[in-house]
Amino acid sequence: MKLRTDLIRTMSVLAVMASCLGAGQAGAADVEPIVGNIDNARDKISMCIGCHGIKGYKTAFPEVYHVPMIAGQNAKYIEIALAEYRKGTRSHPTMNAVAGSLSDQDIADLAAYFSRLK
Amino acid sequence: MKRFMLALVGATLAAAGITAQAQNLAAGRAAFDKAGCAACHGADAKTPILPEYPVLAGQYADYLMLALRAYKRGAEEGNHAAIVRKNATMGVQIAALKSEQEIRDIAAWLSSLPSDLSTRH
Repeated sequence: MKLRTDLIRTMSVLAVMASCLGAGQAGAADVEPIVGNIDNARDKISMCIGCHGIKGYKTAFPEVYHVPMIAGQNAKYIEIALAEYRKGTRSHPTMNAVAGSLSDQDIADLAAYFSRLK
Repeated sequence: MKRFMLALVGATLAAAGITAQAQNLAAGRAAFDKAGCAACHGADAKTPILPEYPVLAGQYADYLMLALRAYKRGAEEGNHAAIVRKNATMGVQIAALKSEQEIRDIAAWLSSLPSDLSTRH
């Protein structure tokens, strides 16, 4: 009796360990760092340059100020800003809408593109 | 004579204006240093210690003021209908800026600095 209990226990532990092997492989394959691609960005900038590409352009009522210059800004900062607009940590009607349509890859591409314009 | 006096008054006012502006820029720089902004954004405001932090030099002054205002709102309780930014670091840093005038001076000084920021595309 004792031997069978130990055997069952050992076999189940081994089975769990074996399943971890498979799950581990699948998990590892998903983690790939996203790298911004400047060439791919060229097709995506039309939404941005309508406001950020015009010198002296200002926002609309009620808070009127100059639309910030983004060319030459740090890429990582642009990524964070867009992610925050997408998530809602930063509130702004236009930027929330624009960022909401962007994927992580889009964000990386755009950030790489604008940061290199110096 | 009258024309001369008029020109003299005009020149004096112009000089006073320029001096006042220079004073504001100097005050802005002092406030920037006092509030510890340089520690993260760099003394020239365009070499931040981490790529996560933005270049501030040369940015539009009114936008910079809006950003600071938004960080301040983000740190406060309450539901803001206006533009808000919730940021743990900036929420703390903004507390060091006591007056609207300080914020205005810092923004003016920052926008006067040379930088690579532009509307290029």
